[in-house]
Amino acid sequence: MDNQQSVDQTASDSDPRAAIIRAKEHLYSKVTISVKQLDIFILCCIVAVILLILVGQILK
Amino acid sequence: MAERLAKYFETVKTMNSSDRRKLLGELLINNSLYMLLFIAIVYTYVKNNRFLAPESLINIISLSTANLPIACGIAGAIVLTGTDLSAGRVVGLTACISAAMLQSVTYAGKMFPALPVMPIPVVIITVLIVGGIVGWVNGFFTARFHLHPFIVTLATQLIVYGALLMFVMVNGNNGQPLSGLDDGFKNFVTGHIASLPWGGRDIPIPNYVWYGIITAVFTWFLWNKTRFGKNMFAVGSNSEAANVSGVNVYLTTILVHTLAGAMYGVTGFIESARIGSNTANTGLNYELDAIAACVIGGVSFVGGTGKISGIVLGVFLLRIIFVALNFLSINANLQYIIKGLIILIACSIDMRKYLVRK
Repeated sequence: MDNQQSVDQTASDSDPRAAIIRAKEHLYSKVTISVKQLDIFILCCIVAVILLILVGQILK
Repeated sequence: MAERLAKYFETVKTMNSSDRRKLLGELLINNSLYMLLFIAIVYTYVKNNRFLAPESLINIISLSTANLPIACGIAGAIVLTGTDLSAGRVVGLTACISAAMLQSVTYAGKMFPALPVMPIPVVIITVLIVGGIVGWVNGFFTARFHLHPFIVTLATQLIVYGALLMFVMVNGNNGQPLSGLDDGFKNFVTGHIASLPWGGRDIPIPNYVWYGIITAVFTWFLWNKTRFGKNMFAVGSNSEAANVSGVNVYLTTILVHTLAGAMYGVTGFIESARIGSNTANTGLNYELDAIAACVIGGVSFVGGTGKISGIVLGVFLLRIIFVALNFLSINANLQYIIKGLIILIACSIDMRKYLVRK
């Protein structure tokens, strides 16, 4: 059983996609903000972009 | 793919309404950048229907592919947890070298009147060597002295800029733009061998589109199908672990930076003919757009993460936004703010996908 697990682990280690996911999970594991806070930030940025485009249209 | 989609829809069917709403929310926020892009495209088209004209689409593709080599080069440096600030200046230097070697003999303001028009392969090899040397210096100081690439490439940026300013002054040129390029050179880069048939017309696809695509395919091959690529990701993920595993970290770092330098040389060669009039300011801030495209495309500054498909997507996404903002005649100052916000949104969405898993 352990051997099988080890083989599975090795196969997953050699998968570049799995390596990328692991690297990113490690990267973002130190982030302390919640998903909800991040969602609010993303939405604010999107609204800001839309507003800036509209303001840019008015100012041109 | 079809199997995965069928499995996904099966899972959705078994969900209750609350879970479905949650899933829809996730889907919307994870793809918000693409939706924003879609809305921007539709809005720009409504305001100015020339935006989606075939000529405009070819223009977007051309400008994006012209920037692919520099983005692929910088992405390698970012995968190694570094960056490259010298890229834009190397593009400028190699663009001016290409122009000086390929000015028409009949042009009155020729920089080196006694120099004949050089064969194009010689010029390509020259720019690859010049870019490669700068890249090698970046890689050497980063790997040998363990200096941060930010500092090393900042130093080489200044050195290359100084060299470029001196180069455009030689032989009485006094900083004048290097123009009057040979027709053979212009045809080689901006000419066309293929056209896009559209509404009874043939819209030419510039040759440099193919050069950009070839560079991206070459980089993809290097990254995914060679030992060098695997070593690069290993060093980027954890250089100490890679070293213990037998990866030559020193050589890999030097090779990645040298390759990046050669890529900037390719961009310089293309830009030289594309712009047609090269000055010391050619290539200014190119590295920032390339870094932004890489970040949007999911290349992480923590290293060991990045895909060529993501870089291509990032380059195209950024270019579509630049062109759309120009079509909408948005004030240039506002454009910088919008670009900055888009980079922040891209990073936040990327981070969110992994925070949700925690």
